Amino acid sequence: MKMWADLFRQDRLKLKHHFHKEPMTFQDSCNFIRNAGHFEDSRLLLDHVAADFREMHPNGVHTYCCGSGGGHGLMSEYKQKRLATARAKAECIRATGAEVAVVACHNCEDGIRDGLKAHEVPAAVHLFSGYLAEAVDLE
Amino acid sequence: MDIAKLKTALAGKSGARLKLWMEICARCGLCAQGCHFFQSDPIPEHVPAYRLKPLAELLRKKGEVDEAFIQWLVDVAYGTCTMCQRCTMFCPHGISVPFLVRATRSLAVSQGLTPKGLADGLANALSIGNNLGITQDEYLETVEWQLEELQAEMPDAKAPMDKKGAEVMLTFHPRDIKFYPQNLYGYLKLYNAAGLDFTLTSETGWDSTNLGLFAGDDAGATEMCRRVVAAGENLGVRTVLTAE
Repeated sequence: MKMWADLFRQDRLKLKHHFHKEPMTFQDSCNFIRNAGHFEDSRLLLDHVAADFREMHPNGVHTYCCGSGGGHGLMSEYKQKRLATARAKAECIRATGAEVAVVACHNCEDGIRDGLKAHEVPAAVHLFSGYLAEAVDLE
Repeated sequence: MDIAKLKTALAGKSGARLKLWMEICARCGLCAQGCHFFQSDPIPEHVPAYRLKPLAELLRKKGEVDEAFIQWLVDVAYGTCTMCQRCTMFCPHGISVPFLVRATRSLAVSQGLTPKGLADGLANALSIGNNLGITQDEYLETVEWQLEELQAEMPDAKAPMDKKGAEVMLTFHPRDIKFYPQNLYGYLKLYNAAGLDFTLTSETGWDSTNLGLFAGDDAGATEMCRRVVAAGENLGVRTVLTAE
């Protein structure tokens, strides 16, 4: 994410302005946002490519975990608990009314997708790289 | 169970930071509002401070515990924490519960009691090179396939393999290769579009996930890390990129 933002700032990575029209929200991951501090990088890119970006609350360093961190994606022993405790995040996403939740972490991708399904929130999940790749301006 | 190994592991983790944090946690419970387990299901076992209990009792009993205790420890340390670090921001002392949970997990590792899914993934990663058991051929073919797909959109697109002296080395999550090859398409498109001087590696270091870190298995985590560093050093790159 830092690399994409750097390339965008240097005008090397060209992205179409407000390419994505549908209401979307962004999952601030524990690793990239809370711990690695890429909040500004993520907003720089999202504000440019998304026409209707809706922040979750809480967001940024106060983001809730997707529920799938710390190896929970691989521990079937604790799956029911993981789905039940994904409620906090699923409700944050529901409140935004977003149709798309963009995630920049492979653990979050599964965590959010499973959580939205378990708590019946009608939003699709897209990986950030793919979301940006669609908006690349090749002209 | 092996008490001697448990004691060794416990001694190995008992540095100043661990002791300080174990001492100063006042069980005030302010961490509860930080935790998504507690927010979703408010029971005492979901208060982050509760996750210090197994370690506190182990320290008090100097490692003299039985198997039922260790099973409880496993369920607390692996089952009720994603190590997301949110509770730390609500703690008046700034105690890192994830740090203490990881230390606790390493005690389970010393008894061979890592939960099965994590243990199997890590074993795969250590023996085959990635947690999904993808072979070298499958990896190379998937890269080739996605590059061809991309070339339909960007005729000049490249995916240099083992290019010495490139500025940046790309690494992936094994699921990008096995289940979601379109992710690879996305990465290659972004870096080609930006004209970045990048390379991929055919060494096992192409997988930058680290289940050892999740499991609390320090030796496994170090080995997974070493492979990525070695691949980067062999190619003489300046930067290693993880997937997202």
